[in-house]
Amino acid sequence: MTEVPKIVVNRLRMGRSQPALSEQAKPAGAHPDADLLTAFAEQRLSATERDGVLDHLALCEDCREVVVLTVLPADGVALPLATEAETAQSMPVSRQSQKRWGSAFVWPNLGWVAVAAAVAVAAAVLLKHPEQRDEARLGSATPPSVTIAPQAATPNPPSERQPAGWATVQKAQPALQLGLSKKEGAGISATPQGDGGGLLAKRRNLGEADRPLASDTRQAFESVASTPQVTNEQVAVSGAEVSPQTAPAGDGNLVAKNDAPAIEKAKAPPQEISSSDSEGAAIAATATQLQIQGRLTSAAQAAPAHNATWAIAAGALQRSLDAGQTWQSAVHTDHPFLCYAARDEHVWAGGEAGTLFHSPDGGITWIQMKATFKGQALSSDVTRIDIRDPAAIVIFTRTDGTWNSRDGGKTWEKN
Amino acid sequence: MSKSAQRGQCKPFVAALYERSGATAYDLSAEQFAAILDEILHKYLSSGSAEQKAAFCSALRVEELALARACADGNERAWQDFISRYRQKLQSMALHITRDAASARELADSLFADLYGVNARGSVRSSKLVFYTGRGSLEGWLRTVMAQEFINRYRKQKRTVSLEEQTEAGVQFAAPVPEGPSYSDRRLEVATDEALAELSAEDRFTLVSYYLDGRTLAEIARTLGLHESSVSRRLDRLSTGLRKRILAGLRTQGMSHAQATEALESDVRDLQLSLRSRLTQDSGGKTFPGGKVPARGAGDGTD
Repeated sequence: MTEVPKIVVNRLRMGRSQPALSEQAKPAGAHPDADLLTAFAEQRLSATERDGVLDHLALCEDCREVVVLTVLPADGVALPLATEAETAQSMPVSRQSQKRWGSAFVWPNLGWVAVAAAVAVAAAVLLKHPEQRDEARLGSATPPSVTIAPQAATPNPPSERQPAGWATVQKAQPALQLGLSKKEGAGISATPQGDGGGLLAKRRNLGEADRPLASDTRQAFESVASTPQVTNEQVAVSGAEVSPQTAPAGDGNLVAKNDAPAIEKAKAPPQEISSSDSEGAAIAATATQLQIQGRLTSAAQAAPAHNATWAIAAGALQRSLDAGQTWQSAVHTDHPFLCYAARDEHVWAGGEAGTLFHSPDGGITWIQMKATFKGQALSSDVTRIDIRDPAAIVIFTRTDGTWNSRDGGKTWEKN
Repeated sequence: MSKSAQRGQCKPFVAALYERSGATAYDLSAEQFAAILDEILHKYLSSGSAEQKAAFCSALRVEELALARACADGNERAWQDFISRYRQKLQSMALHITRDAASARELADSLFADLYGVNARGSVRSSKLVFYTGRGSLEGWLRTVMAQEFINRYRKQKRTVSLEEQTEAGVQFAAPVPEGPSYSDRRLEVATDEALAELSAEDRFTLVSYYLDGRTLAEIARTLGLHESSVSRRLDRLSTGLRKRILAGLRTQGMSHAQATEALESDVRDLQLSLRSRLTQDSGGKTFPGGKVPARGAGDGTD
């Protein structure tokens, strides 16, 4: 950033910047009342009033400080009382995330988008690599799964669909996330849940309501699929395909007897794509979760990261993903944090004794940075961080000058 | 205009606002409510038209206004509501502002006493809530009042700190250096003042916040309701524009382009200090940038 001439700063400090007092401008001694300052901080003043307040603020350090204290960490939202320890221990991070995003993702369209994205990706994989489906079914008794937190796709409250062993990929991860689950039959839990009733519910319904209709199928299924490799995915697919709306019961037999034809069946009739393909796709997603994980992660989390609100309370860096309603400790460190800076996805946080952390993805992952210059490590308190652009970082320390990096923190120069 | 006449102007919308405010739950009569609106109008919009006044009143947070004024009147139910809604938040705000649990408790309790209207004599109850006018949210107002109280205390504390404490505390409490250096060429000061005077209030606020207070881009952006990148671009624009404007001002005062450039540049070269180090020197009392001290309040977490 271009620096202003030094004399400008000196003249500003000496209060010479004030133009001839307009009629709205108050004398420097008369501070705006708390109502005006509050309305200013909440952007509720008329243009004239706002200019009058700004005129005063440009001259009055005390009022500037009041306003900054008023607007931080977010407009009109109080910080939580919970300390870092309380926040961290109150509940597992993944569950916290679910709570947050349960409310944040009530917009039903997001659920549909998530389902559509998952189906499209998985269907593409299925069409290209049908053999992976077999591998997914028959390969391992404990396949990894792609888990999409239920709240993200449906406004319904969390249910038993949440596996007990639901593992967290990242700390402080939003609820619409991908987890590597070790739960049995996890391919089912990988099914997107946002299609109104949810495919799991559909599966259950079909499994029960269609019992008479599918009895032959079930028998055939049980007789043929008596190998230990038979998993819940097969039940799901057969259940779907014996549905009177999608396929005759005989198809279920085919499915039960041979997986490969079932795949063919699932993708052959274009009109059946809504049920058969989506479930087949979910299973394919089981096998290819690692491939799509990144994509889904970025799709699901790009928006949350931008909307995060940051604050430091009692030396702990806190993040809120719901405009300050709830807060979570973002990253733990031995030394208290003193400052942070966030720009788009990049978040930097600094603290005592040279503590420096960087998150390139809105706080999902954190990297502890070790700033060194000519062999000397940064050890002073970091009191302020400026992100000029994602690569240009400036760090202000209490006793060790200013540190600049032009490559996102890989190398540093000290001024 | 007489008070009764003003009240007459308000009539068409006062009833609707009264209904919206839920003031009946706190035994606040329509007349009392109308009087409160009159008082607020008199304070902020004494000369507006009836339409302007109606629009102004419609934008008020009337529900919170009714609650605050009912509390100020000592309505028990209002107090219960207030406590359930804001007591916890007050403590959170105090913690955020003071960053220290003991101070936070003290600050919150002190404000709460002010809000309740406790006074030494115990006879007349004078609640601070009577000053709330509903321009912003009640929560925001409470935070502002608390921040003001904190700043007042901080200032008092600063004034009463002993010489020994100043020494122990280091440069932050050192005596302030004399106001800016005297420049040999008065024309540079004049040109700078003129250039600054042409700026909008928001631009001046941005400059002062960034260069004098050491606020981060995020803090300034939040205060102004902008995105950080907008503030960054604005600072760049201001920096470039001011330089050009000052140079132009110097030329109108008889300097050649080369002289004007030299006057502006030599000003920087002579001291060999970056702007920020100069500012920290001013606030901290250090002379050279080797031991820079951040401006008070610099960074989000600076004590």
